[in-house]
Amino acid sequence: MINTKNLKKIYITEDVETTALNNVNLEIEAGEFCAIMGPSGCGKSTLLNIMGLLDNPSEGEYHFMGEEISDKSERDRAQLRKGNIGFVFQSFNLIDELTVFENVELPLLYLGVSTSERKEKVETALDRMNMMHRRNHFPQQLSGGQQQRVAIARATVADAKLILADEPTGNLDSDHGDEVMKLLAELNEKGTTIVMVTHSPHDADYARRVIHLFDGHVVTENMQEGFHV
Amino acid sequence: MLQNYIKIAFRNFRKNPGYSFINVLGLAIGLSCFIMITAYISYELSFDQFNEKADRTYRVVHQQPDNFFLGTNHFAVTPAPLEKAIRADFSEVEEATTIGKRSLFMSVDGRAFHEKGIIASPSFFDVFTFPLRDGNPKTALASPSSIVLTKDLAKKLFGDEDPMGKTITSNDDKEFRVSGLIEEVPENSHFSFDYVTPASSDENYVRNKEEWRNSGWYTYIVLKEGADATQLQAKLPEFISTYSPNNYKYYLQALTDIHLHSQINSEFSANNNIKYIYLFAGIALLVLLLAMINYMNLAVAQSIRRTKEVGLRKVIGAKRGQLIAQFLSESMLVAFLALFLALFLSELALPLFDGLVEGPLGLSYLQEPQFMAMIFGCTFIAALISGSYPAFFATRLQPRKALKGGQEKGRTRSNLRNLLIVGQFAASIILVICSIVIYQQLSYIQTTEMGYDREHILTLSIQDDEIERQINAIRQELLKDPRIIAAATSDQLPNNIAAQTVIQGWEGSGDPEQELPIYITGVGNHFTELYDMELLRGRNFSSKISSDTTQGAYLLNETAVKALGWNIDTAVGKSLSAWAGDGTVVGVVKDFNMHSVHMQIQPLTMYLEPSRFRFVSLKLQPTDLPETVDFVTETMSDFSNYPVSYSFLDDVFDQQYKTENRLGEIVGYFTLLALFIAMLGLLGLVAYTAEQRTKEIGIRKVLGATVTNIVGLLSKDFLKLVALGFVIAVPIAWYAMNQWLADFAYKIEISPGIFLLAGGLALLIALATVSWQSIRAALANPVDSLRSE
Repeated sequence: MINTKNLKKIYITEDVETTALNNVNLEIEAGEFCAIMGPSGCGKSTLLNIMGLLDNPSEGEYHFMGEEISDKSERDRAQLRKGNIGFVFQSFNLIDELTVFENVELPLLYLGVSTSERKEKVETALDRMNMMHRRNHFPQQLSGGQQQRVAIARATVADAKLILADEPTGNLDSDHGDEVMKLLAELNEKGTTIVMVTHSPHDADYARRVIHLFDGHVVTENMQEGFHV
Repeated sequence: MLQNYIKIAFRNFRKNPGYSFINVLGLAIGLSCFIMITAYISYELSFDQFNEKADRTYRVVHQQPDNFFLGTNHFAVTPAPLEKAIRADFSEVEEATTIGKRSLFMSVDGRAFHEKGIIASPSFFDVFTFPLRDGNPKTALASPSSIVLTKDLAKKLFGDEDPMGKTITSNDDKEFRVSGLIEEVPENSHFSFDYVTPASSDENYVRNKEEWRNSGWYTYIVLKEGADATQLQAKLPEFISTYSPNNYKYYLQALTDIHLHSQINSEFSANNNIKYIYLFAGIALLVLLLAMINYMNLAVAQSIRRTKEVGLRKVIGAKRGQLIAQFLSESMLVAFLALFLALFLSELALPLFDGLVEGPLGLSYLQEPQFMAMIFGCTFIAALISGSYPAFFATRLQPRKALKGGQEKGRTRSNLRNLLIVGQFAASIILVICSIVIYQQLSYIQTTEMGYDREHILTLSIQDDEIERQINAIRQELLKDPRIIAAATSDQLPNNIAAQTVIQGWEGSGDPEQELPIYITGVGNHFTELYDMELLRGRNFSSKISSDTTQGAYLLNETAVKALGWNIDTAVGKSLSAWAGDGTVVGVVKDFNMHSVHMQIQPLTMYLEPSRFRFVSLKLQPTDLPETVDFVTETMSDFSNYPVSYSFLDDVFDQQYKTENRLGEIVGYFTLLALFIAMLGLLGLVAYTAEQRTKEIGIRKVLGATVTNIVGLLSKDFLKLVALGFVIAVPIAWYAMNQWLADFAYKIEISPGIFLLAGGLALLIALATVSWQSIRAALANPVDSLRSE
């Protein structure tokens, strides 16, 4: 599903040039649950953004679902992103002005799904996350864990094949964190590919494979045998 | 403390250069409009104030109950003996003077001039303040042969020589001796002149000196200190009745009211109208208000960003008053920076504005301490008003909430902001609608058929009797040039027939006493043909039919035929009795607009008068106009020693609508400025909103929103506000423009298209403004906005 070759990302500002990623070679198969770990500033989020087609690499190749995309335009990337990739963020990134239902509905709206179908899909997604009873609430009325469940519902509502999670438990206490990790693991079992950036070894235990990044390159890749369920 | 406020104010100013720029520029443009219009209004209000006794000086005018002439029955002129009588009968009258217009052909050492001046009774210089540089004001007008010149005319006549005591000869061989010199008459005087001759030198005046039935002179009086004008006015009817056989009602006009409040017959020259002063004041305030709204909007928007700072300051121990002072000092900084920019802009634009209002405002107002104090005061108040809302709002928050980020509910704030935007667009749309209506009415005036030809017609104003005597030879000489198609003489020009008579007794009128007021002009043989007036029935005057001159022949217009109760088909051949004596109707001409579009077409009669006239009209070929004019003036100089004054009829016509044209231009310019300010404000706000919503835009983009989606999202809200502004603007503009159009007898209909055009324009401008910012926001990489988390 994901295949990178000599991926490089360089940030240039007025006075410094920072190499965020350096020669990253990765292969992630469909159906995998993969955690990316490493200290702050090692390039985890950059890698995730590139995988999520939010950003282009400076050099190297990136194949997503068999397509070379490192030279694709923003418009084409957005097109490929829609419906294929779901995002879960540390700070949830729900839109404050929209209700739970409307937040989850958003990706379907942009996909041009019909009203009735949207209603059905949103309800299924919210049901799965056990958030139906909160459908008309605004994000600020929810706890952190609940907000993250809404975010996951939003990431999955369009049947995304890949979910990219950037520290999904970073803003949650451990109980709520576990809850979220279990939901992600369940999704993975049903076939969704998950790539997750985390600081927490505990969370990383849910993944089948852990990739360690340091200073922009992959240091180790371990397959985990007895991973959490 | 103050230093700290100012320091912080400067830093905040520098931190957001974009907003600060929009703020200052918007406010500066608003202030600069305000300064210019205020300068203009001060100028208009300053008329005749230079006279030292202005507050006690009045003009005596009268109303003739039954005589409506050119739309009003009030007249500015009075009988010649009034000055003497009023002086004698009223002890409260300190001084009185009589003036009249004069036009003199004069020669100095063989050089001929035609100059305009006044006649005045000897007390002229006791009533009006025109200081004499040379000569004695008490005696300058004592002798019938004296003349007081302005400096410029003296220079024109005598060059650098000392003019005092020099002799000027008029065309009737009278000699005038220069007895005084004055400076130029100030522009803000309601009458102007280049010389003053004693009333006793004018035959017409002398003839009428004891005649109460003729009015032709302006009478001014100065009351003693403390005397009451209303009390004097109350005594006027009794006073007049002992002298005058007429039932005219005399009353007083304060000297300083004449320029803006007097629009009556026989004014010395056309006055302005206070209505337009109110209108301009309204526009000035509106534009300033728009600029203030901008400032407030941006400041409120920015204050959201600063809630954390406010919380922190509160925690540290700032009192609310201190915080308010801080915010206000920031708004003062912006306002006064804007003021300096505005003064600079005004310096640049005032000459342009001078041309626009044809007033010599110059830059002198900017140097007057009173005027500057007022402008500073207004800026201070503007800063106080526009700065207070953000100041009070931002400092009202509880420090705990404010520290938490303060981002919570922005409802009330955005509601107020929206309201202000709606107001701004409503005001702009009102101005746009007014501009369009005024423009359409002006072009209606320009293009609508007046019923006579006015293209390429040169009119010569004739004052020299010599020309009347030799008109046939002149005509022949002029028509030798093929560029002159036709020539005709007349007593009046078709665009302004300002003589009225009364028809008494006509066929079919049951009552021999019945009167019909009717406008009248004497015309030469070729007048109606030259002006291409359509003859509906009968025939034109003809030199071949001797009875046209000897037995009285009349042409009537349609309105006159109707007013006489006749039928157009049978009018020809009927008899009536008017100015030129008993006569017969020989033809009926189609109605043409002989006054202005402000007035309905009135009854008119024309009679044949080939040898007495005041105008010669020449229809020219459109090519070589300047050369033809040269030829005409040369030819005329062969017949008269004095220069002939000429003008093209369409220029004269435009001059008739000068006020309207000027109004159109001014409203047009200020509409553009208002739109620009509204656009600036919107630009700032959209930028701000886009910034506020960066995170949301990022999320939406990650979820698959396209650029179009985002632009739509950001634009929709603002466009709704513009639409609401439109709804508010339409009835107000409709009402205002109906009021304006009510002054026209002939006018356009305000069509819905005008409103749609204005609305569409506002929407387009708003859309352009909004989309530029929202496209920028939509194109930003979502990663940047989400990374900060």
